[in-house]
Amino acid sequence: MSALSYYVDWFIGRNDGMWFVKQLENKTPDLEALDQASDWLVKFNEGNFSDQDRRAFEHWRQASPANAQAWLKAEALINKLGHLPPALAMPALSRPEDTSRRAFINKFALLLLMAPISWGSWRLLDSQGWIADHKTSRGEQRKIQLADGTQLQLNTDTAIKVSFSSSMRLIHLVKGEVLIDTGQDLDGNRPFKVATAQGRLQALGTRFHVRQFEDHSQLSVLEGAVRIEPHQVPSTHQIVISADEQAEFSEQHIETPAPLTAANTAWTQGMLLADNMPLEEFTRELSRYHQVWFDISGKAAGLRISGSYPITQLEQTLNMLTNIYHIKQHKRLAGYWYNLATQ
Amino acid sequence: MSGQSISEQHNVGLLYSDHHNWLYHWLRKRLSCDFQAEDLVQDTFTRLLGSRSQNIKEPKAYLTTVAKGILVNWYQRQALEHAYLEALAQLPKQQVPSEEQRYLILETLQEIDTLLDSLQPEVKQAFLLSQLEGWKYQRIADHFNVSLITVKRYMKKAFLHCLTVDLAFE
Repeated sequence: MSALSYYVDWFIGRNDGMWFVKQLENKTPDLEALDQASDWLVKFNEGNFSDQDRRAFEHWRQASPANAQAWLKAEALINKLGHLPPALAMPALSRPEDTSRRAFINKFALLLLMAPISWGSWRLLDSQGWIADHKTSRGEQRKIQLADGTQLQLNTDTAIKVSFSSSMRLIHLVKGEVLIDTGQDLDGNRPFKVATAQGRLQALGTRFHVRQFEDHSQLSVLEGAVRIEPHQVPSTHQIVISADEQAEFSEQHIETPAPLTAANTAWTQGMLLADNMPLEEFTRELSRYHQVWFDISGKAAGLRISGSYPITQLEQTLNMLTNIYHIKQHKRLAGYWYNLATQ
Repeated sequence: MSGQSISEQHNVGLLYSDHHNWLYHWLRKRLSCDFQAEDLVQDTFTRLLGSRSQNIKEPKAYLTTVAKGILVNWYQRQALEHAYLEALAQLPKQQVPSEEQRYLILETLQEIDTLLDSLQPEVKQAFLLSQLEGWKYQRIADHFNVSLITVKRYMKKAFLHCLTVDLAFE
């Protein structure tokens, strides 16, 4: 093994792309991007948002990390405003001007801007996509064949980096989920590994599925076997998961393997399988596929959803929910915002 | 601000012991309430701790300026809270939110209020009618007797302002 390829393996495996993310965090937000985000907000509120507009918007949002960041900020604003009950917010915020106060304020308006800047609190997940070799946007699924014959199926909003060196075939799952069918390695017997934020998986001739959650990874094995190697679990405690089993793991811990459930890979058939799933989790799943925000109010928050739903068909899925669970849906922002409440 | 050095904190400590008294009296004269004056003195020094100000040459002038800003905020909060409580009292009983929700709403209102404060009144009203009441642009245009283009310009102005004034939105 050459020193260079060793270094590449080490670098990609250990740094997990965080270096790029750190670079991004230090960037000040882009005024031009914020200006454009404001234009989009004006347009959303206008209504009549066509599919063409929607595509143009997605194109803009994904065009640069600055745009993605600016839009996260716009989302946060809309979220905040959307949670205010109009009957209380309107009279409080549009109260008559106090003229003496106004004069006082004009004089010292600058002082109000002294609050510390907090760009750092932004989530940068959306902007991680650009460092990956392959990625899907929200709602997109894609099949990819690699040089060694390995077949990958990427679900919505997923990003991977593929790094084949003389010593290893490594897929780094930056975000999202992927179904993998490993190919026969013609260049010798290089191990096939998948890196997630919590650790690595070593494939032992196999078909398996990996999903990156916010704070843990999930492995489902359909054929063959996969060894889980979390970052902080000594090799003596690492375990092999066999076909028809699934397991979740963090950096420090591997959960006891459980029998494989069809729900994990139902997305490959375009379905979301819910089994007593809290409504909030259900809408979180939907938001992975559709650029929508959900606001759940009242008793609807306690609802649990079961059944199979066409995950790529938002309207149809929501109509099914409305009919089965007697949920009232209220649409705002050209269908980018839904309030779900019990009737 | 975790990056603050010991000596910066020490400086604020010195400022506090030298200037606490007159600042307290200055604020009490304007508020006619002892407890609130003491609170605002604390707020003033807390603001200093957060602002990494070094080598303040004219501490008295500087402190007065900061305290005035805090006083402005305080007046504004009082007026907002008053309007909010009035609106709460108007709500039918079954619609009144729980105590915890009431507090969370007030917090968000204060944040939004500060955010929108420097906007022209008509821009602010148009923005609130669109975002809180869900009015269409045309309806807002009719309401204020302005053109549709003007309403869109108001909206753009308000959105851009919200995105560029740096409040801690999470």
